[in-house]
Amino acid sequence: MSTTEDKTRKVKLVTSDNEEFEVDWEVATRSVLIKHMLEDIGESEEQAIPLPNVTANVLKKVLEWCEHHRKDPEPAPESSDDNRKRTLEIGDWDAKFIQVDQEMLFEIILAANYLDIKALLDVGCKTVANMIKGKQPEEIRKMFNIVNDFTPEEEAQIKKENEWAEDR
Amino acid sequence: MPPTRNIKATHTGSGGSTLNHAPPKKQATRKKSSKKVAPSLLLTMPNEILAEIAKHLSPEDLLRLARTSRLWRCILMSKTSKFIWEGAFAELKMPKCPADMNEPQIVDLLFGKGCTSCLAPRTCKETFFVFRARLCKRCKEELCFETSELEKMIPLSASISVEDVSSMLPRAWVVTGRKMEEYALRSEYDSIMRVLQEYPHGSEERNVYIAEKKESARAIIESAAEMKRWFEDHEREKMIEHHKAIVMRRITITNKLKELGYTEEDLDSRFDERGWKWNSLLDISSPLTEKSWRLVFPQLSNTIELRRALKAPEFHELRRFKREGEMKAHLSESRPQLEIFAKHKLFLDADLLELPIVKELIEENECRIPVTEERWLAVWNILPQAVEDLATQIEEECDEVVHEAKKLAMQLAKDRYYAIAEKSWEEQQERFAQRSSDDEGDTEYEDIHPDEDGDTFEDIEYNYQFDNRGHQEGSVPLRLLSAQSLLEVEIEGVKTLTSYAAFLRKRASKRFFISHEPDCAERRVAWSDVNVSSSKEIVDTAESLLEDIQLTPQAKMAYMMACGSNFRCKHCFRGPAARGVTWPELVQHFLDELQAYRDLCEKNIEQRASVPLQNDHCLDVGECGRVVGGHEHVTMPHDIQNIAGGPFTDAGQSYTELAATWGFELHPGIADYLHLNGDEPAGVPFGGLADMMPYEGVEANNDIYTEKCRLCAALGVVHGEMSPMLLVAHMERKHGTDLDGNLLGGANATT
Repeated sequence: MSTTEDKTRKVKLVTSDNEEFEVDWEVATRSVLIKHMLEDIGESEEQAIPLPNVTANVLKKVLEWCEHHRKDPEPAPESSDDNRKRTLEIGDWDAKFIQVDQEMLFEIILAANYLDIKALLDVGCKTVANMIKGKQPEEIRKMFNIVNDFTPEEEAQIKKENEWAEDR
Repeated sequence: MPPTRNIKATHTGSGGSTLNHAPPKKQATRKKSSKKVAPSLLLTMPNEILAEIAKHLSPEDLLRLARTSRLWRCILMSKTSKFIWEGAFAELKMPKCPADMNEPQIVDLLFGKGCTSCLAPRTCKETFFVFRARLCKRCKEELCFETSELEKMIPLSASISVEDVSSMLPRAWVVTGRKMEEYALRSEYDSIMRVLQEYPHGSEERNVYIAEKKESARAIIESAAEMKRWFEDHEREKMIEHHKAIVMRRITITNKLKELGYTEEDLDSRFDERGWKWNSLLDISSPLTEKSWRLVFPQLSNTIELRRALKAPEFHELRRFKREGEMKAHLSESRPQLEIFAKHKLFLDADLLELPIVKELIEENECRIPVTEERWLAVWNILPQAVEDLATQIEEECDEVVHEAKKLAMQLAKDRYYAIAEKSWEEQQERFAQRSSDDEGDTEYEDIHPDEDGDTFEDIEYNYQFDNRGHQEGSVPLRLLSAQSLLEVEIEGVKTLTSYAAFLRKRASKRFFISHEPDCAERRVAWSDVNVSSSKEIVDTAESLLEDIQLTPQAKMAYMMACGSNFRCKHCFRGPAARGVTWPELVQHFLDELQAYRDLCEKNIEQRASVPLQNDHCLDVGECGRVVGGHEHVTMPHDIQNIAGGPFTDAGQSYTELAATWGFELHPGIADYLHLNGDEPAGVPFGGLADMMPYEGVEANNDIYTEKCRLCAALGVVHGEMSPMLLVAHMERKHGTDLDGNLLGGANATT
């Protein structure tokens, strides 16, 4: 549990491209990864936390999200993951926040996954799912630049074959 | 658990450390490969993220995604991804996967397109849940068979009953037209028979196999029913959702347009022409996004402009209709008072709406201002006077019309009388001259020339009473009470001969019987659009008929009305007039007969034919020179007063008594019977109301009216009769000839 002292603390984060960000403890600990790291290094305020998998422009975006959601309740425990919601609804602010190009979208998803920010990962995945929803295979390919690597024969065949790969 | 990839992956393996492709590096790569297809960022995601994305998709989306590329197919069609499918199934509360199917197969069966056998995409197909297939008609016939055929199909050597085989097969009832048949798959039957042949009859294995097959068929049928139920519910829900989404979009767009200042009328599509885009833009289930609004708005605004430019008159008419509705509501509340003012003469909404002050209120600002209580009260103050004025106008106009007609009819009668008197005087003069020369000194001649006789027209003038002396306030003008006072009322092109009382009663709100046709033209059309006339012919015919039925020319219309439909034409042996008509209908009948006769005479002249013609309904001795059927043309019951129990001839003089005393209004059903009787010989030009007998109609009834009149044919008119006897009657009545066309005594070829 965070204490009042924790809330006034500042945390330094260093990105893969060596840019340093100083953020409130409350904002930084939206990331479970950072939270655990902070717990590991203890009280030492000066020590910057390296984030070798995140670039500065992505971290900036992620921190923007964390800042907005700093007061959100603690993320639900892992066990409730099964009880996931399939609703594709995204809050208004999140929807605006995630209106970025595909490249940034996937970077945010990867960063959220790496930093273990469940809610942000959810927003990202829902956005992608929304882009897929209701579309025909060809439209999905076009949307995500997916190369159709089936031969025409295979393509006809897959419409008939719906068994598990292991049963074929 | 996320699936592992067993396909060539173009990116780093699963796990969190996949961020080594930093954006700057990527940009460089992309620039290089600008001509090649850029790699899909989606496919570079680690498996657990792809699985995470998939978790948010519906079963349908999962199946479509699995068909985009090998990688997705590999991930989603792996048993390790079963949990993703199961999650999607649970989300939609889909039935559990039966033992003989997996989730993707169910999804394909439920949501796939085309025939699952021949893959024809657009053929009409039916989902057979029991056969786990969607089949087109051809494939169904090829792959399935009717289980009723089993008896013939099962060879004796199989040593198994039809019932057993039947219950081993998954079977489905199929409705084709009115037929309902049970079907099974041929392949399933073949496989069962093959296996049965392998096991010896009565062996344990065979019994086990049969039991297993029966159980499996039962399970399949059960799961199919469950699937079908779910699917139907799902489709219904989808439909509801679809409609809700459309409504939401419509509301959103409408609100946005209203915020921009567009009016209700601008958004009304009822008068749109083909090709104007509106509903096709609104009735879409996809929600309105900023982007789609930017696309849609210019098209909508274009349509609005078109409406404003081209449909203004229609909208004006619509507003008028609304205002009139509001006005009618107020008027109906005040109706009892208004009827008193108008002495029950002016009762129609249409009349009231035509009043200048009412019209002014409705039309204000192009009918844009609702008729509020306040505005109505301003009108109400002057409305009674306006109503009374119009009522008086109606009365005066009808009176004037009758007055004019009577004047002309009287002149006609005088001329006729004068001509006869003069002729008779001349004849007498001649006779006198003859006698004088034979027997000089004889001065028996006393007759005087009609010009010298001052009292010549006294009787005639008395017969055509058209003074209104004795008329009292609140009473019907006396002139309108006479039996000769018939009005020809033309409403929307339809002319009817009627009495003033009947005319008023039809326009009255208080009716004895509630009409089944409350919106008939007579009740819809305002006085200003009604054309009322009369003519000397009408008055003259009425006068002649009165004489014929031995009533005085002073007979009252009330008396004629009380006689109801009891007037019968003695010249006709068929048609309404032969069965009994009202007084106005009787007059109309004679007028129509005269008109039909005149039409044929014209044809005679036009074609320079000399077909003998005569008007057997002629009331005027002078016109055709001979009256067929003696002096009596019409019969009527003379004891009518006793039959009806009233009214006396002076009844109905007061407006308040009109509706109550002037006979009874005919029930619409009876009215129809009188005018459009099914037995009436269609297409026969004589013998009935002429305007109801189109000549062309005969051709359609060639089988019935086999006896054709040669003389009519000479004038280009097809006239047929049902028997030679009737044809003889026709020849005699209408041509004054025998069957061969030889003139009978006294008849002339009229030209």
